[in-house]
Amino acid sequence: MQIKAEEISQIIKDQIGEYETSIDLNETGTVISVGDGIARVYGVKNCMAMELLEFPGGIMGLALNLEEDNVGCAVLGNVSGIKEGDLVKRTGKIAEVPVGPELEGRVVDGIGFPIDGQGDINAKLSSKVEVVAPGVIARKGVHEPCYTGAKAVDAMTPVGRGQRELVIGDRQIGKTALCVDAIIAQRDTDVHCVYVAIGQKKSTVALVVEALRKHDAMSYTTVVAACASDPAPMQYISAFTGTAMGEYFRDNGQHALIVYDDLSKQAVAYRELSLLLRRPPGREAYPGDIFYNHSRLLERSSKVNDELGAGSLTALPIIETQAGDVSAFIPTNVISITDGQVYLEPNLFFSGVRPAINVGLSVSRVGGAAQVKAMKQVAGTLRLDLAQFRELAAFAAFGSDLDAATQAQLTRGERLVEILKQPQYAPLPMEKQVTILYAGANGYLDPLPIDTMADYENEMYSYIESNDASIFADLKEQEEFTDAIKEKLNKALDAFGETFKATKGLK
Amino acid sequence: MKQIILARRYAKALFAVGKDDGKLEEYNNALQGLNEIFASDVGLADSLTNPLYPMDVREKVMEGIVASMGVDKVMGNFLNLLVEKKRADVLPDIAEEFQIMVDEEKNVSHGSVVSAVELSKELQAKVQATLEKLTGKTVELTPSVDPSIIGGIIAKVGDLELDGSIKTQLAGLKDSIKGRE
Repeated sequence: MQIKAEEISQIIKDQIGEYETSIDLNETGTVISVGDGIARVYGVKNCMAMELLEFPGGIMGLALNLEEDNVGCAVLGNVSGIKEGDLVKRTGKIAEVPVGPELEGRVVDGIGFPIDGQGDINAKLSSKVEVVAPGVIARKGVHEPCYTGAKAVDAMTPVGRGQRELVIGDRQIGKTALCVDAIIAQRDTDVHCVYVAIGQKKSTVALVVEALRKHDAMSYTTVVAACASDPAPMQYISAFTGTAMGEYFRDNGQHALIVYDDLSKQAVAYRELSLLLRRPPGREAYPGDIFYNHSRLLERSSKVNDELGAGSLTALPIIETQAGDVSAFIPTNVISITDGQVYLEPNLFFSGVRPAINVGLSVSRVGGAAQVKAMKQVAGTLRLDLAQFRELAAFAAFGSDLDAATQAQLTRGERLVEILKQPQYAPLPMEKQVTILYAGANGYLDPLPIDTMADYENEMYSYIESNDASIFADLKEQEEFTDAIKEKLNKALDAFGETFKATKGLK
Repeated sequence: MKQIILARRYAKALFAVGKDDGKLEEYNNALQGLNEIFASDVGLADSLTNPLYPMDVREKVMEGIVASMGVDKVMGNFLNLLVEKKRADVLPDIAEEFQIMVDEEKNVSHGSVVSAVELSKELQAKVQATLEKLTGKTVELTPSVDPSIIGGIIAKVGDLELDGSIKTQLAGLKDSIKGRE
């Protein structure tokens, strides 16, 4: 297509015509010193805390320290263009980011500017980055499930809408994978998602965005990316930016899920910022308010009451541990703030249990309140069965003769561990999860060899879908194992068991 | 870097003495004069602050300056004290802080107005009147000419800046066109 010269001239002419000349009245100050993403500004007398200041070239700064003789300011952008003596203007605005449905499907930076090359975000609303979390009266107990699509999580450490469930573990053992699956699992629900990438490689973020796009999850997801090359203030504030975007849905009676990947990097960015601002360091050189930083952030994820629209914001913060050390400063802080944690373990991961969830150490403090009845019926004994299995397995390793009851328990345990495994990017809906768990808990798997479990699961789903799809539909609708459903399911599982054995050539 | 906290303390002390004696104006003139000499003559500032010179030499230099300026005893003592306390380098900041305090006392503020061409008397009076209305204080304007702003004026009083220059408006227009791309 050829662009006509007059078309461009016309656009520019219109823009010049629209441009309103106004004499701006500014309160100003001057830069005293600048470096490491921090500028100290003299003047700007009536500057407020967390106010945005404008540096030459349109670079924004965030007033963090108001001192006797200067204002300590985190520069949200490239500091190399700022010199000593530069004029700084007050904007009179507390830091704000665009929010609203326009942001869905977009990738934005730490302060809400698009970085996906898809043009402007014409968001109608903006919201303050730092707001106080809803109070006690504005809240309601967490009572509806927010499925993550992972059998192990939904069965044993259920996450409710409005809950904060920590995902903790070493590097490279599937923390991000678990959370990305949780986002993909919201595909057929009314939950909007926000993925906040803090201090990650740009290539990693690109991979996540690509994965979300491939699984049709991008249309309801906003990605906030403050990557490793972005200045520390951006990485610090991006978590709050993402929360503000999620809160929009919560406050409009909708549901949202936010993933912070990860909060350890955010803490490191905040430490850097604080030390440069000369705030006194505390344990592990983190500033004294690092706990408050995380608690006020996560407290904003909540379930609000019916008068306020009964919306919710569910949070899945990620914390990376060093060599499994959960007793370090930041992990203990965040564990104590959240409503439970999913603990991922390298040993399990490398022995093939993926997601590598350590069932013993993972808990959900909301628990059964966030589970439907069907899930409670099948998962009630699951945790106990697995705990007993682990204990017995330790004994069985000595290889002595075992009685039949012990043998049966071992067989059951091995199969339960096996069915809790799940491939990546394959979150399951609740009705499928409860079906396989039902089959496991009721001994349908016991006569089958362990290495056929994955095949059994997949083929069972398609068998039921093609032969008696009403089972899934009923489970989805009634959310309970009624006698009628049980009867139908038992029949289907019996029949499928026979065909499965036949196709696999088992006796 | 400016040593504002320090300068403010010294200025406050001198201001208190000056107010009691009713010699604020005189002290201010002396300080501002000295500040100008400081700014124009690097050697002088160096001779008062450079630690390579022995203390007694530096003190003598200041005594000489005090004698030649013919300031009164209190002011002389103040300046000698500065050298003695090794704070002679803060003098420009003290002068600035002192000016602000004197202005506050008299309810005036100093401002500047930059224009592309020299302003006529009436225009300058008009700018002054506007600024006085805005700040609620008597404004003393220092006019200057800077052709690079193309047209319009930039008026400044304290932290307040009124920018009506063509240069800024063109920059704003550029941003608004670039911003839509």
